[in-house]
Amino acid sequence: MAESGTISVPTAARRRRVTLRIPPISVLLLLIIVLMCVFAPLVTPFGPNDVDPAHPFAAASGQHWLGTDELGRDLLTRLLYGGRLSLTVCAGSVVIAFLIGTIWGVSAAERRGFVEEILMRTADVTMAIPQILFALVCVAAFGASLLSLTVITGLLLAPTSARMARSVTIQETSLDYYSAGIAYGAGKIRLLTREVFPNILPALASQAVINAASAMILEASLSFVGLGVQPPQMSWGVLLQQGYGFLYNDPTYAVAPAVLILVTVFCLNLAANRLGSTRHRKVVRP
Amino acid sequence: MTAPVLDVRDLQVAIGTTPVVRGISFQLAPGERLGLVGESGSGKSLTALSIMGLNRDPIRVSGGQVMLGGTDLLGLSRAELDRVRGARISMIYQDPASSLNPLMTVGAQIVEAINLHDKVERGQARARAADLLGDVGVPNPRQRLDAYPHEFSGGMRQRVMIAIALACQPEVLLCDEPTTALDVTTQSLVINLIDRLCSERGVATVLITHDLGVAAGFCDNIAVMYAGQLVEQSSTGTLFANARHPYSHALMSATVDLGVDVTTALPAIAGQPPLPGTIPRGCSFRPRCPRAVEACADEPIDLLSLDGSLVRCIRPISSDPGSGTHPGTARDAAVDTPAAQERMPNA
Amino acid sequence: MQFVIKRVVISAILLVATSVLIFAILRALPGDPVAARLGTAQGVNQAMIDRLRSSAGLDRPLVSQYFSWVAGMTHGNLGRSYFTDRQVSSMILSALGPTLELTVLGVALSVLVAVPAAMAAARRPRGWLDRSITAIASAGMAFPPFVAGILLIIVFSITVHWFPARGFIPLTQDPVQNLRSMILPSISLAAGAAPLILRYLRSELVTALNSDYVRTAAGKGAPERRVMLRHALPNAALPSLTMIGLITGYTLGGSVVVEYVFGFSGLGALSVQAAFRRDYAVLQSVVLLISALFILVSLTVDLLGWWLDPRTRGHRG
Repeated sequence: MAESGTISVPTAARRRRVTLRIPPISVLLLLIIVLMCVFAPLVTPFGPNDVDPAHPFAAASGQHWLGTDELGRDLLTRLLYGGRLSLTVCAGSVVIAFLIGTIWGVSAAERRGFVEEILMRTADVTMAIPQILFALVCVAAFGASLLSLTVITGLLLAPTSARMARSVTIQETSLDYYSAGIAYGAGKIRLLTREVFPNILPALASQAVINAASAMILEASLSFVGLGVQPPQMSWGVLLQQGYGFLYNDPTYAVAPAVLILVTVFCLNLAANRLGSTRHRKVVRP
Repeated sequence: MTAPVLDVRDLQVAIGTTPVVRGISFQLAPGERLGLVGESGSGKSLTALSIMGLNRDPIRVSGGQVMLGGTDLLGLSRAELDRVRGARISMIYQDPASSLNPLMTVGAQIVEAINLHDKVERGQARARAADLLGDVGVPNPRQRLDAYPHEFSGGMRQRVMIAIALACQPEVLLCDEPTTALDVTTQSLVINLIDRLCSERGVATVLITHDLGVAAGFCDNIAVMYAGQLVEQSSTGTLFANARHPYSHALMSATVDLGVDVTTALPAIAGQPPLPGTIPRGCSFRPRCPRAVEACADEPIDLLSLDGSLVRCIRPISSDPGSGTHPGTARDAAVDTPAAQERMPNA
Repeated sequence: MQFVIKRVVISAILLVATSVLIFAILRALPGDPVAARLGTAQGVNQAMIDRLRSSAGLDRPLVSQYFSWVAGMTHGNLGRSYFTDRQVSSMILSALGPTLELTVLGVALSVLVAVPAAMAAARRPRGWLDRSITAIASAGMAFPPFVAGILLIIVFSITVHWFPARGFIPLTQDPVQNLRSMILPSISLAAGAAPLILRYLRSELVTALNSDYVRTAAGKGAPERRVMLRHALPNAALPSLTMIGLITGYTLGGSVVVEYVFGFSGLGALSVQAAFRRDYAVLQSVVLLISALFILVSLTVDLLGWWLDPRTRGHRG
């Protein structure tokens, strides 16, 4: 793999560039879902709260692609608008988990010994409580606003990211270039941010995508039991909860958000697998 | 000659589509000891594993026959093969540390070998296992039956493997580098054990090794492998005194003259053995051979009978080094490099 | 032996740390659950609030509150619910049954499905069977338990009336109906949990089947079945035991929402209710109990693996 025999502090040379040709179907599908939610007003002629009391539980038709709910609101429209919240919570918590987890894990890997023990044992403790129950505790304490939901979910996912970040950082800093860099007097922070970080990024990104799936499930679970997004605001979990109430009247009402959650989580899992394996693909040097 | 117990005919093995064993044939008479020697990667182990039908994807047998008694092992179904393996033909492997199941007691593993072919009741099987363990020289065999493999030393583990292999009195025993993974001090003990047990029980043995010293002391006949083919086969005495193929000649002189292990002496043969799939046309040893001429590249070279030996060479080394060169090679004697001559035995 | 002591001590520390964490989070904000409960009801005055606060022990310092919680735990007194004034311990006891049964069945079902599937897949790695099983497994992993539950209800309770959609019938009352009411919830949990074991066990099996000792077994003349069950499976299952701990955590967490879907009044439902009412006395104990179960199962599984492996257990007694 290394063409040159000399040990130099590699700058751009070791930076990996992943060649992604056509995006895989999972990514395309995710993109479509995200875009449809973001541009919901352009996709659907209805508003999310346009009531049509004359046509409750309408079957799927040319006008209402997925039918209507108990108040005659267009289901597809509500799903798209609901997706905005679901995706916002998801994206926000992933960013939080990524930032906190990376700093957490990299500092644990960098400051071996006591600090590492403290940091990683903290991660162990938080992971000893099943996520959803931890979320219940936090929601009970801090409330279920959109912001607190996002922060809580992000914090819950951070330990997983921290573990991943720590293990890949330990791998990376055990390589020759790192010790050579330290020997040459390069600053630690500089080495970590300029050299180590780009190399561990693919692993962290893959973990972030897995976290996105977990966040999606967590938010939907909380909203479903009524402790997440609060109506009249809506997310996929909220819509699932509402559809669940009318399971016998109109199964589509519950199936539509359920399938949407499934497809999103499935695609995220697939994308994470793919991202994880691109690390081992041929790397292109600039 | 009596009918052979094992008759391997033109065995071919491939990894995917790349041939790695390219037509191996040999016969094993009852009680005979045959050595299969060559560098690592020459296909020795693959030959043995293929005879046993133990190859794994993507390695597979692509042709030939393995006749054990009157049956072709390669044509048997898995169930039929299971009745033969361990009963009539057994194998000892290179690494005793990983070849025993770490979660089963040694006794259970020997009893399993007995019970798979001989349905005897529990106590009897255990007694036989203890006897076997005693035969292979494990002290306190009765107690040691309940010990786990990790509680044994490397040499003792290999003894257990021998006990397993001989549990059902096989006709043929294949030993795949049985001492490579062991300490130097235990190597000869294990070889002597195999030697003694096989003589006592009349088991025909194929010993695969790259240690010519071991082969010399153990084998009646030796077959030299190079790049997936036999290049020379003759009796042990003849081969050591008068190796005819330049490759085996180089191997022998390295061992005999310097008295060191071949593994360390092999660099004396310049160059590297060819990788599977990049084997040159004609003689596969040609690129490294000091005696090679253009004719060596022309066509595949057959195994030829030469004074009781089989040699795959069109310019074999003289059978009588004391009285000049072989008639067939006389015209080219002048091109022999000094280095090649240096490696000739000083007989 | 050292391993056992170390592992037990770590689990104990983990348990204590978990209790501190739960307690700290629930007391982090100055919100007053008593005031929240009484709200703006008629005739509420400060004296009443104070009386309730002191009876719940909320007027004492946090550290003393924590220790009285822990001290009470040691003799089964977890205090009273802020909301219903019932004994927390009795609330938990009556909710324990459905959750435990659900968890045990969920884990058992996952193992029962995953082990044969892993063996089938590992026989020919990358063969068509392996690919199909792996594909189904990754699809299963995308099913959050409650989504799976809702879809199962639609198919098996509403479309064909095979299983009840809601309600828990205690085992002691009617074992057959109990099992019928448990089938859909267990499948909901196993849908996501089984693939976790399956993927791990499959790769361990592939490694084991490529090992030298499996080759030795085949060389002895052991049939394929025996090679798999007697040699490959035990060696692959040993490291996979930890996955049992992991999926127990998954199942315990999943049961929270699955109980809600199927109308079980178990610990999960209790915790959701407590979170709604900000009934910290109930919530802290339920969450700690579930975490303790999780920690205990992980510990047990680790010790079991240690004990089953002759290499770590050392000489037989």
